Amino acid sequence: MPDFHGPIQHVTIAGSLWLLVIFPLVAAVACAWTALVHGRAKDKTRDAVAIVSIGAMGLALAMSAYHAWVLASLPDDERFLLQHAWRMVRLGQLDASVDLALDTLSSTMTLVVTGIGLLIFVFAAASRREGTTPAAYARFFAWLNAFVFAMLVLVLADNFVLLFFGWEGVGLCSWGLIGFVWTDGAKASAGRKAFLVNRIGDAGFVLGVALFYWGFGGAWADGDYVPDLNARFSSVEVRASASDGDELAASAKPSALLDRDDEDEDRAAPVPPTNGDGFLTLTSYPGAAVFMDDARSPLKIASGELLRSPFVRMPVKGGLHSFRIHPGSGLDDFLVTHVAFGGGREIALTSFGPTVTFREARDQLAVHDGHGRATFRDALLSKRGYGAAGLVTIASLLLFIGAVGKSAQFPLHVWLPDAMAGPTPVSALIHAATMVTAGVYLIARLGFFFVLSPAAGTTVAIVGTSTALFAAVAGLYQYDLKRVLAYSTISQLGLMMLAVGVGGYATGVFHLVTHACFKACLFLSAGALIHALHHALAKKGIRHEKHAQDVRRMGGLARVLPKTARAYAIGCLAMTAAPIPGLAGFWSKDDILVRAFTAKNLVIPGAILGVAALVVAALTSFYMWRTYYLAFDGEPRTPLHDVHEPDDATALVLTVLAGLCVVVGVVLGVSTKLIGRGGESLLEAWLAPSLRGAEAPFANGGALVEWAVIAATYACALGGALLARSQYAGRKHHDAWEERERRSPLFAASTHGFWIDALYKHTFVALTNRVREFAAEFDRTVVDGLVNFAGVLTRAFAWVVGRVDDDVVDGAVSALSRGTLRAGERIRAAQTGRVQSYVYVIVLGILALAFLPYWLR
Amino acid sequence: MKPTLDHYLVVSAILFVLGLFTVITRKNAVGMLLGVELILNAAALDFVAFDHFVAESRGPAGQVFVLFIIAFAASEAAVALAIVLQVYRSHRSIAVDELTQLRN
Repeated sequence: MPDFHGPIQHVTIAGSLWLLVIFPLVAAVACAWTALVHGRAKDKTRDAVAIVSIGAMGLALAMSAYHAWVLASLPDDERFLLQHAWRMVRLGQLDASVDLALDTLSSTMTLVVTGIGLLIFVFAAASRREGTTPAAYARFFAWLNAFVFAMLVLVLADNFVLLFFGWEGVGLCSWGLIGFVWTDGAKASAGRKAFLVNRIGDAGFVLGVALFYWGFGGAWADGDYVPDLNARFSSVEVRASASDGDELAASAKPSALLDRDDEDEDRAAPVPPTNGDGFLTLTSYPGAAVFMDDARSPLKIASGELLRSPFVRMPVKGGLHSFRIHPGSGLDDFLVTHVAFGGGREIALTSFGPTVTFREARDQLAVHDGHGRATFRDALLSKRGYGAAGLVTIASLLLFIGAVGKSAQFPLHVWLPDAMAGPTPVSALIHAATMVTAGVYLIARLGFFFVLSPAAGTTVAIVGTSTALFAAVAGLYQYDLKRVLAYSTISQLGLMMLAVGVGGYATGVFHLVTHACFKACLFLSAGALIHALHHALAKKGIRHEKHAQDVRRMGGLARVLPKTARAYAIGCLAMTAAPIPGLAGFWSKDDILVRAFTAKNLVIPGAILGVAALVVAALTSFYMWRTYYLAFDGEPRTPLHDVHEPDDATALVLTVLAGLCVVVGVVLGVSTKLIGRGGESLLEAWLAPSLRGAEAPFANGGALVEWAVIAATYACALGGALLARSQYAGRKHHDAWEERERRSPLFAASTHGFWIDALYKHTFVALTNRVREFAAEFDRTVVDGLVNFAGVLTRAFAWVVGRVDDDVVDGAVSALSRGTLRAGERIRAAQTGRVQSYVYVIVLGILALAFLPYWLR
Repeated sequence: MKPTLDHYLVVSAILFVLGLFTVITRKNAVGMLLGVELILNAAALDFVAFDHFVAESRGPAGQVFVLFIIAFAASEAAVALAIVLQVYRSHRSIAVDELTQLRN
């Protein structure tokens, strides 16, 4: 009989997932090789690099689309493609393989990464042409391709270890791209800052993974939790869900398990049905061989090769079977005995206990034992960490620290505004659309875990909301266009965190997708604007690009850059949802607000978060439209005749992105409210299989709440937009706005980002510097003193040794030689040369020897 | 009176001492050689005496030794006389107390 039953993730083995990641990797290697070897090549190199990179991204996008189609063509529960590439690490029972997994969540992410990535690559190929050497151009694309590769590994990873490779890989590429122009000290140090701040988050992440692993470890005996890190195997009957099969479960339950006074007993059938065939599934310990019944010959597939994990739904004859799973590499075999097959049921042999694989962890939490109890989930929940805090809460919070670093949440957000020192395509791709959303992705991926801890979810939501609020205020009066976009990114990431914090994982991913579209659109149109303005300013002798990013030098640009202005305006509309509602961000932001207001899996009222998010919506609308009016409207502050529209490729990219802002909103957004499948939006339905086990409770507000929230959001956004319009639009106010802003009470706090950087400078950085100075002083005085003292000691000792050597040792040696000489002179007299005197001596010697025994006696 | 081993040994000892005395006292190198011959013969006499009285039934080992000694003595005399002849040619003397060149 199966020990457990429940919705084990149905895996579909796919041999082609590696195609998703291979093209960017190949392109990265090719570009890096070009940069290193063919560095002094001609301009043609640029074309080759651009073609290879864009081609690789195109292929990657095609692969993403193909695999998304493959997923879509599978039944809902089977939407999980797995490819076991090779075993990476096996430490004790920790099994970390290079396993690529594609479920609907990671499929969504790959589509975003490769889709937005392709557009940004096209933009970058055009915009980076001027002013870079062919070698730098190749280096730039090598980093970009490597980034896409790492990002794809991150989203396709089946376990924490592989995810961490991608996680660090994107961080590394981010460092390399922020400081791409490393000869500029400020940019190089911005890259360093990003890298270092992320290390803080990563420390939390690694600890969280360790605690996650440890928390799943253990044995359960009589309801007591005995920590131990040994995995064990059990059989699980695969059902669509744990609850809907309760009658079935009861009928399948053997009486032996129900001997205790259990009310289920009377419903239990003594023997589970074994007529017909069953199916066997094994996905744990990739590469493991399986022995069935016969202890000597492992199972084989038709071609005669060993049947190795992972495999799915292998037909097995009905009846009772025993299994031995042989993972190899020094691990003990696992035994699973008396498993009843038949009736077309699918039995999975599943590893329980500590794991770093998301799928296995989620399966453990989902399964129920013969009594209908979720043994593992209960045990995990009952586990306490320090104080009274649950282990799940602590592990979730530690993992969240990693997400805070990567997704630039308060208080680790400081690196993202500085990261704008990188080239604009980098800001668009890495620091807006993809990498910074990795934290949100992580929490959505671990939704089944976070949802168990309302405290952790609340913390995530509060941090997200306060980050959103804080960054929105910080973005209000920035002069640097890219800094405004950076703060808006932080703010929007905060909203995503709010969504995943309250348990709306699909909502968070929804906003992630729409945000990737409109933020890429905004960044690229801003990039085109800056590029054009930089040209114009350079002719006036103003070369540093920070001037080209300064809104005080813009104005009236819509007249000369109509396409760019249009794209920027659509991006603003999609982001702020006002004054024209209905574009991408409108739907996702509204969804977040509904989730916040109706959240029940929190320890504080969700309405607080919702109200804060409404304020964020108003502020967002204000500062985005402020930048639009300052840049594109009003009086020009730089002569316009040198400002030119971008080339066709860039314009095409902007058009496509603007189109996406509209289409994504309509397709994914409208379906949320109007044509959803039974209350679910298309995206929610699509993501549901990936987010199984992560269903947080929400109050059912009904259509009234929905429409109220929509109205409130729109009102707030419209208010912000109108305020911005009244203050910045048109020509009548030109240049008075600066004075007015300076009088604003929030001006100083906003432009200095609430002095967080200064705070860190005077606390952590200063402290580190103090420690450094102290260490240097300690080094100079104590350590050097010790070393010098040792030197003096050695010298003294050497002097003594020298004297001993000169006087005693050398004296002895020369005394010996002098003695030998003198003795030689004496003994020489004995050598007479007279043979007969020698004979005397010989005879006397013989006589002496002859008589010696008598004398000595 | 039948001679016993002791008689032979006494004769041998006398021969030995005479030979030794000759070797030590003679200044003439040829005389010293004669002394050496006497010593060898004393030893040879001992061999046959012991062979006869002590190990009579175990084969002719003593006699064989004596034959070897005679052969060695002859060859030694030949070599030594040749050396003496050469010494005489170069030094016009065979007085051993004058031949102290090895010392320097």
